[in-house]
Amino acid sequence: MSESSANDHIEILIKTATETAESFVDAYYTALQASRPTISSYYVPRETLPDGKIVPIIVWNGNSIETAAAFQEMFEKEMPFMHYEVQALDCHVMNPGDSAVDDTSKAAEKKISIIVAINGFVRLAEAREGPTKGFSESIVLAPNPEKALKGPKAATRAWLIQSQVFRYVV
Amino acid sequence: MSSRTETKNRGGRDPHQQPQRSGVNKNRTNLRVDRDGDLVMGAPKAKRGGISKNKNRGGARDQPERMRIDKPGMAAAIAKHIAQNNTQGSRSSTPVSFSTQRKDIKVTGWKKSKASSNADGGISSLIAFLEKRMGIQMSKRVTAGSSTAQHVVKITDYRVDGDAVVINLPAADASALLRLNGYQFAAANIKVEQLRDRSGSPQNKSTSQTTEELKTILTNLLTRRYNAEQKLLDLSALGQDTELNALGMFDSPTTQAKLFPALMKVCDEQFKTAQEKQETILGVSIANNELTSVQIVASLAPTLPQLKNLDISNNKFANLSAIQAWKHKFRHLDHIVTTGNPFEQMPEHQTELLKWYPTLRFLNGVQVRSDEEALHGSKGAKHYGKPILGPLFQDENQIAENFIKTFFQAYDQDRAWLVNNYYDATSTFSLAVNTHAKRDPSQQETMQPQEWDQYIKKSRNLKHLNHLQARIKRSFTGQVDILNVLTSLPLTQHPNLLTNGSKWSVECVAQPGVPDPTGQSPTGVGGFLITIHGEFNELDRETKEVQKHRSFDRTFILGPGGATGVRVVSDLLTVRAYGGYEAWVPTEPTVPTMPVAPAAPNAAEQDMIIMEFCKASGMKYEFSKQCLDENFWNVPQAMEQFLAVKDTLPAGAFIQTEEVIG
Repeated sequence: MSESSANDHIEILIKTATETAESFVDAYYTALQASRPTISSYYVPRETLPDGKIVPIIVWNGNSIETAAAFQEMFEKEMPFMHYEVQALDCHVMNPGDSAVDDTSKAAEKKISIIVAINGFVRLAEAREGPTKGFSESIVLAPNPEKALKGPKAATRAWLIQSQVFRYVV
Repeated sequence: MSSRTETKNRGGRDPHQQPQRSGVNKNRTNLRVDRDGDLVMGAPKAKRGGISKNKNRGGARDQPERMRIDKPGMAAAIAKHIAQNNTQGSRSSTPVSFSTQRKDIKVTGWKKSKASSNADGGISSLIAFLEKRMGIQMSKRVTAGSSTAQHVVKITDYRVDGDAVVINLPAADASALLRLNGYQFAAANIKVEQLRDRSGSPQNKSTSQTTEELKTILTNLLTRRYNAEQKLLDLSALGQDTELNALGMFDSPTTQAKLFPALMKVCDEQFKTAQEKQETILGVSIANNELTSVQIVASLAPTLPQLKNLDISNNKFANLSAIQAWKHKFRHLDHIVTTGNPFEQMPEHQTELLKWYPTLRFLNGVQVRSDEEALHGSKGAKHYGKPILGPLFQDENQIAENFIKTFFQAYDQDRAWLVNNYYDATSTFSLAVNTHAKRDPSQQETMQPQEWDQYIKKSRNLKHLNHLQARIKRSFTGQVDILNVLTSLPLTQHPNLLTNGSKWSVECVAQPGVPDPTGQSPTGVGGFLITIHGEFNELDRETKEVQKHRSFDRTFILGPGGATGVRVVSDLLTVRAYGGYEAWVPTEPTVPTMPVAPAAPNAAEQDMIIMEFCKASGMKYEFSKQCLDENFWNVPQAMEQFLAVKDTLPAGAFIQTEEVIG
């Protein structure tokens, strides 16, 4: 693989990752505010990996939440109104095949994970005057293998949350 | 109120002097920064209402910016000094020109005139005479400049002081008045002279002296009105305070509006820490102040956010919007007294107040929320969903723990070593600055401009960085690039993780799909996702002095490989204004993951327990002791274990009949 095509390759991955991070965070935080019944659809299906680890991993202010469904239920039943305001966003590409990049870009995109770091505040209880809490959240996104360009699966999300650690920080 | 403002360009209105503020937080809108960059408390719209004694109130609405000060001493100093805190917004409501430059002119000699026999001592005729003559003077000048308009001068601000009348007027008019020196008024020669200069600059020294005096007076007021037994600061009926009245504090709406913010600043300066302040002042009363809105006293909330008791009784609050500025403030309020206010007639006010203050238990001495519910409210559980728990740290073989301990020490001391040992050719680092982050709520008064110059050109905050090429450029991969960017960032000093653990929040979970440096596993290997929140001091490169105190968030993906066996796959750093560490203090005691052993009984007690256990189990002394030891002296548990393993025990473990007898 020539140097220029390697650069093109990196460029495509960074483009994909940054744009995905932006649109995903937008959609996901909107769901946390306004369409809580859809929350669980943002997560990878529950799965026990060969090493015994279970995904997705969801940690909310130190609370380990077992499943996406439980997280959705927590938002539906326990959480007040919450408006997320993202003030800083950054992301990295993580490619398990890093050391031997020989895939085509399309194939590589199906393998990468995206690590997203988000910083901002949540307005609680009331849309305008509710108290605010500063937060920091780290999310690892994995590609959705079910995603198809055509057919009934075309509408499914291309990226899903594999791990997520949230904290109020101010 | 700091003397620092004295030396600064006080008259200027250079917009560049207005430092960038963190404008995100709507709930901090009563914190502003004035033109000198100093923090200003209080709201700008304090024109309505006022602290009692409203003899000038009518005039106040018409001429909010005019200083109508009768006592030239202290009150003038207050007005002059504190008026610097006026926002540009309210300034713009008055004609800009010369209105801020005013002079006091003394006119004497008129008492000898024929007009002195008039009912008012001739003062109105004198003023009319001066207005007319000044008009002529000024028209002459304008005519010379080719305009023919008749100039009309009005003298609205004057006071009679014995034989003299002191007229306060804009500098431009003052020169016309001074030219009337020696004129004849009703058969008497009048003398016109400049009394004193209110414009400031030549009198810095005296002004800062009076500022110090003012501070002393306000400090005395606080001392006089503090009840140490009840820890109550009684700011009720300020309008009847003889000392404040002696200062002319209520003669002018300007001084009146600035009194409370000044008082709050002085109050704040009495305490070294927020905790000390919180422990000293539990309650405040602003009762009997004829307030129609809390705007004028709004600075109470940011100054004493932890207040438990608040008395706002016997004011003129017509409805809850009159106290809107304090909605959702005072997050620990326990008791509020509202009696004697018109809004008490509205039935819904109680429900509303309960919503505003989740910890409120008492309204006018009546319990309106159970202790339990209030406690719940204080934990924020109702507002914030699940309780805040301590960090979740799912490490393996202390890999992540050792990494973190070493990492931040090396980051502070030797970044080259750090990069050589923990990063490799495929590691990626980037930095994002959150310039608008929420700041530590307990340190509102010491808000400083943040100055992000050293970070901003490397910041990869995707919210602000839209171009793909820039996004690529600000992502650093490989040891060389990472070392370059890390060494370009300011020197840091993080608090000690072991001795100052509360200032950190460190969490760690397993992360699948981490790149395998050996390339053997195409789907990746297991690693860690580490998230850290904390703070650091920023040090000057030369002097090593602390320049800034900031907060940060850092996300690592840690995988196998590198010089030490672990390497940083990904390192995302977010830097923001200092936000404190209160947010991650657990709201519920952390559930211990290991069963905690009760305190072991002392030797004599142990002996008793062992003897009992011997009898019950039939086991020998040392075997009984061992079984109890293993079960932390929990007798039923020990017995359960004994029963479970009884049949596998050797016969020698049991007491022989002879031995019991013997």
